[in-house]
Amino acid sequence: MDVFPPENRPVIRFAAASKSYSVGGKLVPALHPVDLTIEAGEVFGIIGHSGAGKSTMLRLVNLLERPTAGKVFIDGRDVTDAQGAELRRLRSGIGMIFQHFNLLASRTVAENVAFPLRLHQGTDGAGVTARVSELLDLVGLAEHAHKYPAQLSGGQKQRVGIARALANRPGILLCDEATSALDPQTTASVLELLADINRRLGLTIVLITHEMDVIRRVCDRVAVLDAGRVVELGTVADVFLHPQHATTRRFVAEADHREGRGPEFPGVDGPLYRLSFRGDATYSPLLSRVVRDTGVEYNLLSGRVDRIKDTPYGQLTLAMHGERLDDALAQIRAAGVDIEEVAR
Amino acid sequence: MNPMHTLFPNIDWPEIAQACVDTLLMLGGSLLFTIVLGLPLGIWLFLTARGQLHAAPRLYAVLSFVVNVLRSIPFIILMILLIPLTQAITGVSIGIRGAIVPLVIGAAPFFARLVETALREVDRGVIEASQAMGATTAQIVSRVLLPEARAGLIASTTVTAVALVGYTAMGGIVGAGGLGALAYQYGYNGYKPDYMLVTVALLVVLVQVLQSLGDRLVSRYSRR
Repeated sequence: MDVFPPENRPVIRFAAASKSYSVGGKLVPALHPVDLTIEAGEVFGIIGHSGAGKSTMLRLVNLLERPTAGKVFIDGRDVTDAQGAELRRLRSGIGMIFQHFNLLASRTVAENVAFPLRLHQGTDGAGVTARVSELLDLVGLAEHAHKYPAQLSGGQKQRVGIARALANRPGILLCDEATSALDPQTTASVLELLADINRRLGLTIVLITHEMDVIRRVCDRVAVLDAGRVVELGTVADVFLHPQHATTRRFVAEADHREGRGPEFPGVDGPLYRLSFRGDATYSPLLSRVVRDTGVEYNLLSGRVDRIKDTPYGQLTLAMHGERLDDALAQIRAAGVDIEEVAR
Repeated sequence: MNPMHTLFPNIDWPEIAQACVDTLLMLGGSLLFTIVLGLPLGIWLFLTARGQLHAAPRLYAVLSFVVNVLRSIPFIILMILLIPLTQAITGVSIGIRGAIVPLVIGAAPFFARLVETALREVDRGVIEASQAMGATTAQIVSRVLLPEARAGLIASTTVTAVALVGYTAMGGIVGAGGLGALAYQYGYNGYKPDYMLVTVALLVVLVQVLQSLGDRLVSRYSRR
């Protein structure tokens, strides 16, 4: 299979797109004007609490929600006011999966996957059947083709949802809290499938979630939404390792399972430093070399070594002291490791 | 002596048989046209309601009002009010054909309301998913709403059919024929309790058969 690296071709662009709802005759903003470009082949995450506007933002892409102001561009074309056949053609090129799967309960797995094919190409038998079995193979459900959704587990239902969303070979896949109703193990396997599809088909994926862990595992870039505003936007590594906004910090803390526990470490003397390793530096014996060279002492207070998508990273919080502390910090920086002094 | 004759001294069995046929014809005919009119009306109500695919609050209010008015008029009065219309459509005002017009106009709004309720039971997410796949409204109705609501629609049809059995019996009073007419003419007005017993028993059997048939179909098409 070919591997498609992200290329610099904007697939989705919001130009000051915003959305307000009329509630009791008053306009209530759900999404403040947002400017954003999503490139071909990237996995773009939108994270926010419920009510932050992420669901609205996702639905602007396939115009299930129309922007109140501003514009939406897909593949460089202004689609903000697309109607009728044009709108349906646009939507057939954008797959979507949902938190609660939204499968047709009255149809079998195979019929569910065939559904979008039949919407757009009539009922030509052979082509549809071949495509359906190809898709069911892709998501690993070939042997369940004739079951009804009620007979499947949550993870299997979402795989049917994914097969259905990919049926018309879309360029974009929208994921609406696609793993929020699944247990951790199933979540991992569905995310793996999404990452695999992204790599093999070069599909652009936009997903919304309230879990930083989902972002960390599959996304290239992330936008953090808070009360209808994009408060932080960047590569997942940057946002995850150096969160700026309070909301982002909370999400990162949740992912690190240190909710409600500050980084203060009472009873520890001296300055605290947070070291962020990325890529190959993560696995090099840097710290022990620096300690040997400079004679500084350190106390490891907390740490995590993991992966952001395919890149290993480590983040350690240390208390360091010694005469050649500055020298030690300089050496660590020189090795490409970020150092932040932790506020106490 | 024939034991049937001892038990039911007054009954003319061929007449009962004819009344059964008449009742079934009225029921079948009126149910058919009730569905033909009520299903589209129910879909229309569903689509135009607030927050739905083709929300049109004013149109919905008008449709809803008409449906409510027709449902409020007691059936026996509706039959009399509709005599001119019945004559215009069928050329007669009594008999089986004459009864079908008021039966349909009485039952179609009722059925439409049940259809609307059944369609509301369809998961909104499934409708949204079909929209996201680029389905037209016609495709959403025919391929999503109706199949997904199938069990509910069958249940609605059953309830309507049973209600129509009651209406046909009432139609008997004004000369529509059928089992209801026999019960009224001979059983009630003619003081022949055996007629009353037999006709009512047959109507009970009819309702039981319709209900269990409906229930069986509902459970067959439930996929939840």
